[in-house]
Amino acid sequence: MESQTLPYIALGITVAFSVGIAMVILVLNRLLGPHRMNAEKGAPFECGSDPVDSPGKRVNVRFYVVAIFFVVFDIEAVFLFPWAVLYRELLATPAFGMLALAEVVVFLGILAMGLWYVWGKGALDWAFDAPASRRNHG
Amino acid sequence: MSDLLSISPLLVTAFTGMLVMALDLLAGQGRKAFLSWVTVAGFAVAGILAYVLWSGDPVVLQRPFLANVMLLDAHGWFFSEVVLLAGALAALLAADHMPEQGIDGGETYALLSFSVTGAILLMVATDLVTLFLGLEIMSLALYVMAAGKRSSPFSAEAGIKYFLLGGVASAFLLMGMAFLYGATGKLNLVDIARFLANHPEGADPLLVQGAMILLVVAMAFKVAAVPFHFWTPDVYEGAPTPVTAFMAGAVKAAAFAVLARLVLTLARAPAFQGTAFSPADLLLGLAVVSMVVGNLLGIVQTNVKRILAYSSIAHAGYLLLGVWATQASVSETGVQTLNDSVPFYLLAYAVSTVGAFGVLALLGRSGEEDMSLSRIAGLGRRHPVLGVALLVAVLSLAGLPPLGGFMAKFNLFRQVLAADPAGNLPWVILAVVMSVVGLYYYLRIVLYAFFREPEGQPVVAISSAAGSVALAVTVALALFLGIAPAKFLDASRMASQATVLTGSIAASRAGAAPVQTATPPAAAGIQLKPGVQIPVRTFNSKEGRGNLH
Repeated sequence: MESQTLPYIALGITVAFSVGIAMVILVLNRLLGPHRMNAEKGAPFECGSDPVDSPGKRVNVRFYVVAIFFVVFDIEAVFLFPWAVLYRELLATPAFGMLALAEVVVFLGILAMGLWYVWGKGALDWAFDAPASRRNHG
Repeated sequence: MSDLLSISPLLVTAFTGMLVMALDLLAGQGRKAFLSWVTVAGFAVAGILAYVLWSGDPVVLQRPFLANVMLLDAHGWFFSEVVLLAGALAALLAADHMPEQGIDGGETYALLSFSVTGAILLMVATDLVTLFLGLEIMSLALYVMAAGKRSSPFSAEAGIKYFLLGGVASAFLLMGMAFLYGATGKLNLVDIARFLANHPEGADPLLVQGAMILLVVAMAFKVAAVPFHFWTPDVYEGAPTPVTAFMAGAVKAAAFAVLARLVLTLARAPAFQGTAFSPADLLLGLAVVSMVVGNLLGIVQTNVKRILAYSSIAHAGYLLLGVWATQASVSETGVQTLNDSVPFYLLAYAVSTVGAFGVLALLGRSGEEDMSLSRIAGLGRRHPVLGVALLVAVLSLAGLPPLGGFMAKFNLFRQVLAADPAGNLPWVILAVVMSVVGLYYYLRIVLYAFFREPEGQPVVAISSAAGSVALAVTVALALFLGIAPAKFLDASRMASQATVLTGSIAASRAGAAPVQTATPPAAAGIQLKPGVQIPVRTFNSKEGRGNLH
């Protein structure tokens, strides 16, 4: 029983300690720090440089498509790396053999199919003045 | 290779989806309707393959990594046929409805194929992770389809609502699986069933009971049982009508298949013996409130799609009553099996509800969102064929002879009564009374369609060859299931006897050849703490390789 609860006690102490430190620092800052507000201080903080734009603007939806592409190709790589590392061994195993190669070809084929599809649908036309006929996301 | 053959319906539907995507690119604008026939052809091939596999012996996948993840048996294939049928009908209904509504693209058909693939995977999965994967593939495609009509805020609302509540349901399901894994250390339903059979002292009762509650709640979301039904009317109303037909017919069948398998398999756990809490009470409670609330709220609706949504909730109630009333097994294992009548009921319900939504889909002309009762006034005179199709579908849903819905309901109530004649009588009486209450709103649809004159413009239907074929199939099947149901009842019995996993898969099937259930190859274990063992599957026997050392 004791050996089971002990890690949780330690975890609890860690959480309490970190939350406590943060609270103490914030409260001390509030109590001790000088508060002299001016326009410069009230401006949004963007890594120290002057703000260039209003944050309330619309964001181009293409960023979203780019993000999806990133995830898609990222996942592809994530699956290919372990396969590549184990490939020699897979070839040597009787049960798998060429099957390992075939399976990856099928996997890449499906992904290539997806790439072709989004390409055809115009998701890769990143220029703003892409011809209207290609921008058929529907 | 034999593994690929035994999951070939899955592969065919997935391939159909990709083929449709490719053809969608090649086809010109406004010429996408043929994709619906491509989809139907794919589903037909998958259906034939499933039928062939069904007549063979049950199969458990053997390959390392995939050992035991799927059990391909009568349970999976019966419900796959239901889902494939509903999917094919929805594809046919979409052919002319979607362009009329300004949704001219192949995505609907591709997503439909992927959704069907997910549903089949869900129903044949015995591994909890595979099961979750199937559920997500099915649901994610559906969320997009529900929001498919991008010019309509209602469609967007339907998509968002379905997505958020589906996400909540998935979270419940995952948490339930986590509890189950915590209790048994296994992620495989066959292993869990075997564990429960071989360890009478069982796992931590609290964890198993918690898992049961979470799993039932998650699946109750999916089958639209009260009190987890709030999304149903809005989503059914807002989604494009062919998509609604698929949702009501196929998703309910898939969700009930999984609900029955999960709950009835786990209900045998020692954790439920001799305690006040029992999974049966949970199912009965959901069944009763679903029947009552679904039927009573159906009465006050004035929109046909919403009426059918509440009808779907009420049917979830009857079906839960069927799942609740298990039967003694035909084999000697002493295991309770799923009620014979449930798979047949799902088939009859799917046919009827797809038929009813199908008529609405063919009435959905461009720019006409509203499907209130007054809009179908005069339908019987102006479009007698559509009127008759609606009549057959709605009366079948109401459960009037000689239609499939009657045979399903009669059989269900009879079997529930047979399971425990004295104890179940009050609940069967309640179900019958609620069916009579439901008759009110079903007959109201008929009243408006046949005996009311239209107030403004008379209703005009889309002329759709594909849609007519779909409606003809639903009418024919609804009649056939009501008049000559013997074959289907036999199939239903086969499916229901395979539903509950017993741990020794072979023993539970009368006459079936014994199934080889391979233990995971080289199941090494890491000893973390006394009593906590995490099994690790190694790729081959070479020590250390692929292991988590």
